[in-house]
Amino acid sequence: MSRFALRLVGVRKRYGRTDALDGLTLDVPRGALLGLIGPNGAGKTTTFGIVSGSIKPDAGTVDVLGEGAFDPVKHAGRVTVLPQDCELNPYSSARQLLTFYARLQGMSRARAVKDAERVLDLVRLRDRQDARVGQLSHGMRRRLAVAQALLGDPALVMLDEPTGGLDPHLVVEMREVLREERGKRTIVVSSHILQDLEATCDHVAFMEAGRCVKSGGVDEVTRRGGLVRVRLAAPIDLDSVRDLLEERMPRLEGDVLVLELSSGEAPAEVNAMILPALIARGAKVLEVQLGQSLEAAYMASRLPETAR
Amino acid sequence: MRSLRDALVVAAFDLGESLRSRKVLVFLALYVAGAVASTVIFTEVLQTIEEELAEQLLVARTDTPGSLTQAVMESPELLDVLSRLVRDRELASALVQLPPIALLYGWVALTFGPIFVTLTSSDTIASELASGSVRFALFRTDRAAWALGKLLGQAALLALGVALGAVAAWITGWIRLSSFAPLDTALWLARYAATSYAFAFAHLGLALGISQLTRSVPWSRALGLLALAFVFAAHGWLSRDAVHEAAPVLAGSARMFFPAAHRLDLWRLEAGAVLPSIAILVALGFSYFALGHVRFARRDA
Repeated sequence: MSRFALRLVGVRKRYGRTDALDGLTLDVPRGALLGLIGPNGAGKTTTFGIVSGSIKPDAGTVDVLGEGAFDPVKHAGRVTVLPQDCELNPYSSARQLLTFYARLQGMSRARAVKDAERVLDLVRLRDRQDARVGQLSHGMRRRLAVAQALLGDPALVMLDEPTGGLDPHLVVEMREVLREERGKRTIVVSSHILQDLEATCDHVAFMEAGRCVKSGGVDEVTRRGGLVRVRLAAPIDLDSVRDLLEERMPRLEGDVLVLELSSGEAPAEVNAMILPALIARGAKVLEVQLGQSLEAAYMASRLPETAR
Repeated sequence: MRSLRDALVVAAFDLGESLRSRKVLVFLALYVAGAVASTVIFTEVLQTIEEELAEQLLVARTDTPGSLTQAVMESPELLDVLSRLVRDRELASALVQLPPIALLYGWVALTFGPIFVTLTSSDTIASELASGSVRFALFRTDRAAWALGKLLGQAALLALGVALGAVAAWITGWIRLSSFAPLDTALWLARYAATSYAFAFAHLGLALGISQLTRSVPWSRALGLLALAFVFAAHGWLSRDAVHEAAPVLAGSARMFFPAAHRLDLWRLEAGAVLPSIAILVALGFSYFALGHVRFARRDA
């Protein structure tokens, strides 16, 4: 069995004169909860469409669950998708619609009804199960759309902007739903809200101009094992502490002192050694952070304007 | 087998969605209203003719139409009109023996069925492409099964429309005609409902084929109506004497690809003459649908 749930190699897709995907290469390890990050037009939605078979690639190879290109019959029920900006059929009830989708995944009617009720519970919509989809609020329809992607026991779930347009408390609930699903299956989530992805994902991939410019584990990308950021109440004179921090290549980013760790060094031990010395020399420490934020890592990875 | 099962699941869901939408309910109501209205108009005309006939025959006039129906139906004038319509005097002589309500309903369904399916179904697939709802289904089943399910769902809706129209015509005839033969009329209504259904199915396949070509709902509707006009116009042109004389084999063969070429055969009384036409019409419906599907299978959804 392949250790990757999804592999894309050199995938290209062109719309008129625009390259939506320009040789995209991306690996998603099995069991990962991967955040796909990129600006509008980076090719995230096209990637989702190609993986799920609704968009045909012009070139490149897509390997889904180690079984070759996506095939709706072969992969039915094992690959599910939340497409972006797509409306659900409006005239059925939430439960009827989910039952229909579950039946298309090969379930018997009785099992489909049961599973529809399970995912309605999961997205807290059970009390509106008999309401027509068209009569649900935008947030409810979005949760229903997420619910359809969790029907059955899929091995790969692709969620395009699952929290788009949701109220803040629903965003938190959705994050909880994703956390509950983590480890049970491979999940790929695209979102503009980097804090959301940082809080839920264990892997990330940055997309830009139809290519993947950086990918890996969140700890690796944000350098949680290799960087300590010390927020100070006021900037300090770097020369006054240079003897303490020589090996750590210290630098100041405003009021944040950034220290590099050598490989194999445990951040906790380094902190225990450095922080008391810094405080002893008059530094007023407000906060210590391991690595950089996902947002900072993302901004650092962005291609220069001319390359986009 | 899996694809056929999926197609039936899609068809059942599509029929339910259609029935829950107001648009289709309005069209179904219009179809029934059309059947009722045409039956009422027919009985009014019948009564007027009967009154004139009663004066000529010097017999008592009645308030309800139908007392002299057989005499009207066998009148030479009606036989002439019918002979010109079906281009076969022998067939016309046989048709005038049938319950008039069944004949009338057959004519209404054959005339308005194609328009009904074009108006209700030509945006079936395009609307799902436009809204993106198709993307929730296409990773669960293959495109052919999904599209076939849509066709079968609309075919079931059409069957409902044709059946409701026939029932409405039967009830109206039963209320308004004094010499109404309930069982005979019901049997002939069922017969002409079935044949007109086959004729409408060919146009349904055309509408669903067109619907797979574009994701624009207005375009799909416009193309559906244009295609409907085209198949009737093309058949009419190929049937012209001048065209037939210029290229008899080509014109005769080309006509077979248009549903209207098989319409007259649907009136025939012998099963041996009707069944091949029904089979051709159903095949034409699936063929039009399959032609549209060639494009849908290759495009981005």
